[in-house]
Amino acid sequence: MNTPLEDRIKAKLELSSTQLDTETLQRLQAARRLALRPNSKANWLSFKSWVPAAGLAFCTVIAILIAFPNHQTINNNQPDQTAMLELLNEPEDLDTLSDPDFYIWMEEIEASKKDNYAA
Amino acid sequence: MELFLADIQSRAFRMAQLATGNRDDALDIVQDAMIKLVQKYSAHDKATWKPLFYSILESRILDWHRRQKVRNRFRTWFHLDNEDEVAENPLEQQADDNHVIPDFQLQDTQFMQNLETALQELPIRQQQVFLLRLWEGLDISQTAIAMQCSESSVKTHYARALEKLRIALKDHQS
Repeated sequence: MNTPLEDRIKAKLELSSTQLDTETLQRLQAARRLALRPNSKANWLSFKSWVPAAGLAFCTVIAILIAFPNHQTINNNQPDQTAMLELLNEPEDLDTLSDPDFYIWMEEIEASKKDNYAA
Repeated sequence: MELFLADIQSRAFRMAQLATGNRDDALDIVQDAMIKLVQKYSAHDKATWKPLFYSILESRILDWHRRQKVRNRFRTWFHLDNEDEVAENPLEQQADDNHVIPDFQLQDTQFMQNLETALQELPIRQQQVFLLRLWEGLDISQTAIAMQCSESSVKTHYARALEKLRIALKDHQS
């Protein structure tokens, strides 16, 4: 047994469902036909169904790019930085590098290597 | 099956519309529920179609709310506010013709507006239980099947929903 308020609410809701606009009714009719069609494929082929999957894939790619930034840049820069640090930590090496005899000796070594290859 | 779907479609659409506040999403939800019912349960006993259909509809509505939550969270994170996608209020779409209608019709219109607002403000499960019980006429056990909850939960949800509506619509009770 319903209260007067419940009866009134029910009547109003019933009325609202009978006053749907033509476009909505047509779309409901189309949805019904699609559902009753044999082997209807729901919305699998519609763009809207793929939006969440595409969004997830995009977010994954962004997350990977953020988590693993370009390795090549780091690898290219790393030897230079390491060498600089080693030089700064070893004052003796700096002395060697600033000595002109060191470069003459290096050239002699290179020249002897070339002669060996030529022979 | 066709007669069943034709009979149920308008009420199902209105329920989905009240739950989502969006006509297009409501239509998609109803279409999905119809397709699932036909594909999975058309061989079942006709008496079970109604609770099964509303069970599917209910889960689609909950899915929609979950997606909305995730979407809103992303919007908050990225500070996105798309005003175009704000849930539309169907009452706002209607022409304002209050100036030409008599007092009793105006009261009726206001009652309907307040009813829609009050229903939309209910927690989604209370709203669905209330509509299934009162409007669709499902009994407690059928509603429990449709909502996938216990019969005592159905009673509690219904009582709470009715109490909230009574408070919200107290100005219209004479």
